[in-house]
Amino acid sequence: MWRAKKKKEEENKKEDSLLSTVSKNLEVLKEKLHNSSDCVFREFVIGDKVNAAMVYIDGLTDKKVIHDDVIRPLMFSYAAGELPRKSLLQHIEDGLLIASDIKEVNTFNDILGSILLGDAAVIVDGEKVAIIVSSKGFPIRSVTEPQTESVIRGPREGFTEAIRINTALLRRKIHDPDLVFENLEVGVRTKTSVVIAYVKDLAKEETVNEVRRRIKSIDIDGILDSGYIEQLIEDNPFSPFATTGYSEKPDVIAGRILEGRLAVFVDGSPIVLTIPMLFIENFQTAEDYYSRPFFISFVRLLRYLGFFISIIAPAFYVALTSFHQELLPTPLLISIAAASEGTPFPAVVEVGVMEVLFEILREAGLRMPRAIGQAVSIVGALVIGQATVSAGLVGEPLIIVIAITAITAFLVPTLYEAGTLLRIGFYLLAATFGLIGIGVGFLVVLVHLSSLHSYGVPFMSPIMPLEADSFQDVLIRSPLWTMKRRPRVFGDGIRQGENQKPVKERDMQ
Amino acid sequence: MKQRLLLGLLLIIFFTGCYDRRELDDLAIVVGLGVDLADDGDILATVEIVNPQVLGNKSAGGGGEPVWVIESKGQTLFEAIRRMIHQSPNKLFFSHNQIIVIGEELANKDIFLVTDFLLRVEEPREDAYLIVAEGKAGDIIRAKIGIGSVPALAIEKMISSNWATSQAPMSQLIAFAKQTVAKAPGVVLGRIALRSEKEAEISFNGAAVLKRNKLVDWLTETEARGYLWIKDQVKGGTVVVKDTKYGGNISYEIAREKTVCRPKILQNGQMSIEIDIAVTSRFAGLTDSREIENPTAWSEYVLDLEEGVKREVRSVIDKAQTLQLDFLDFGALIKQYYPQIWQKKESNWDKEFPMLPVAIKVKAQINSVGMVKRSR
Repeated sequence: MWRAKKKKEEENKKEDSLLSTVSKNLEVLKEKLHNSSDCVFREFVIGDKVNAAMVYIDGLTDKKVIHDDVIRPLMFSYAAGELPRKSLLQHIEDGLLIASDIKEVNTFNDILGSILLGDAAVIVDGEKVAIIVSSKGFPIRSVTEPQTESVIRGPREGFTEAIRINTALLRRKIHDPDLVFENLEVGVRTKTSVVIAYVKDLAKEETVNEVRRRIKSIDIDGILDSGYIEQLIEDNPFSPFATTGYSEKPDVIAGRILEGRLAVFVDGSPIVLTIPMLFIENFQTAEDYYSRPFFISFVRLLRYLGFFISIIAPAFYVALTSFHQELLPTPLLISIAAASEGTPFPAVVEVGVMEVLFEILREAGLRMPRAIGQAVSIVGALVIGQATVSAGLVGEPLIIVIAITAITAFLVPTLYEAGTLLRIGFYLLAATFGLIGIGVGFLVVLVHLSSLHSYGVPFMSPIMPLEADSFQDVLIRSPLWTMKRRPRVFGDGIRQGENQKPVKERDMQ
Repeated sequence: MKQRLLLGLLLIIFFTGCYDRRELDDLAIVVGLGVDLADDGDILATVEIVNPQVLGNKSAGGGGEPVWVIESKGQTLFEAIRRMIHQSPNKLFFSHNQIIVIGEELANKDIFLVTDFLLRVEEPREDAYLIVAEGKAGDIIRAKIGIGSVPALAIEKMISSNWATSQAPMSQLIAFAKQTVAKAPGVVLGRIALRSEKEAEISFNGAAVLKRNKLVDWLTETEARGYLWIKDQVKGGTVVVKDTKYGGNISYEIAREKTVCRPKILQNGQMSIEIDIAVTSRFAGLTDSREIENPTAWSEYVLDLEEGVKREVRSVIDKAQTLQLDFLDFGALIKQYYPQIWQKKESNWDKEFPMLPVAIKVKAQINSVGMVKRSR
């Protein structure tokens, strides 16, 4: 379907030029817009003589701009017969339109392209040119605290759905003329604007070129969210691990851009992509850098541990209780045996059912309206937590394992999807081969992770290949003044002066 | 190709699945094993199985016995254990077996009848304690010691906390296996005894000496301590010394100990063994009202303590030499330091060992009088 549309567009290009009478131009435009009800065609007369018209889309434009700054000066500036006939158009542009951003176009397609973005087009009789006046003004969500990445310490603003506001939010963080925003348009029908942002002398040129090439080669009818772009340009479409980073917070994007990455803004999405991405980014949060390093380093270790537990815990439980009972301490074995006494299903089935039940509850709570979501969680807590145990369907230790898994899985939110898939995989391996299965599975995952690349950068860097001097921000977050260099994989570079460690003057107490 | 690989993987997962899987509630968890010689010469095995429902259900409160003891007879230990399937609804699971008690009569015959099976089969753990009972092993396993607890686990705790007295070797199955493989002339195992059947009192002290897997003699507490001194395994305990000057007893607590044994050739060309023991200890009890304050005055006590330790060591060496059995494994020391000389001695070692001179040097140190200078 949309291919046909594309073809038609190309054919139309030749007979696309504007005509010299307003009425005929309007006719063509009306036909092209199929008389859509939100299109406004306002005809008026300049100086009692010259027919003119204005075309815009209702709802996308700022009415006040159109009324006060476009129509009013055009209608009232000339007394009858006073028209400077020869260069009326020039005169309108130079002296009448109170708008900072205007341009001339001479094809219907350009007019359509502009008014569909929220600009207004002014057509004047006798001219084969239309003036596009920037009058965008549509309701947008204001800048609010992002829901997915809340912080206790640090900036609270988050991106919105409007791309201009988003780029402005970033510009406000980095006042550097070298910060470049490159505009691209993707989507045959949606014509979504996509902006690549980077700092010219920090981002590697070949990465920028490669990302630009990949985005340009996207040929799809619509881009509704940055997730579309991510899936259409990523390196490893079959890996459970995402190799494109994202964030909703301008400070995070700014931080990553300053490390030499580039960002991709997509109009209509508050989620901004960052490229390339490293595995360790999953374990870093904005707040790591705003708080003092000691506690945060501990928390970061917890995140690694939490991720490990979340993927391995149910598998480990299955392996230990149904294959390797000898590995459990005797008192623990006795209490687990006591709890599972009389339960009707083998441990393998119990874990599988509870795991699936948890995912169902999570999904149900997520999509429900908030009020119902609460009901879901109460029912879930009662059903999972209590009823199953008191009915003797599963043992308490299993509930503890599932609960630990569920909580730890949320420690590293960006790895939730990959983690859940891995957990299921490990669970199946443990259910069939016990600890040997887990061990082999773990090796396979490690090999897979080491083989991944993100836009030319090894995904596991700096762990694999090992770069000792980039380790300052991996397992722990070392003090800011020790982070002299940017991560090596994004290009070498010093990012702070010598001796940034705070020094106390001798006579200061 | 990829599809075939995937198919292969799926086949592996779904068609090999769950081999060797055992459900927890299908297991009878064995925590203690006693092996005796039956009257007709068969092997009589007694096992202690925990009842998780009683132990795990803390709120229910004392419903039923925490353990269940069953016994079975067979020509071999394996047969006896397999026959227990006739008595137990669940499969016996030996991986959590904590203690292996061997009855005296069986020990007199051959404990190999027990250990070979336990080492050969993969399930029993090798760090279980291997001990010899005075009397019947079955009685030990049956004894209801502790309050509402699992007797075998209580015995295991008793053995593993034995370091506080160091009066019996904490002999594990794996250590026994190592000694056997290394062809040690004698093996020393812990001794357990039922002191009073009615009160279910059990004592773990002293040791059993085995020669070629046969019980030859028992070691007293003091001799067992002496053995542990030589093996550098004293972790604590008390040494009580007669006070030569004032009468009464002084007890010392052993804090640290280090023993080095090495063979030495004497001036007359004779082989001897030199035992160097360094002990750090502290006063743990006096019987009179002396005030011990000045550390320089401690030296007289140090001499007494050194003598005390020496006596303990000497007692076990005397025992070994009377038994003409080198269960202290001095032969291995000589082999290690003087392999050539050992080659000549090896065949005649049983005869030479009783005459082997052993020099014991004890270097004691007392580093604390305790919290009071004088208590009366």
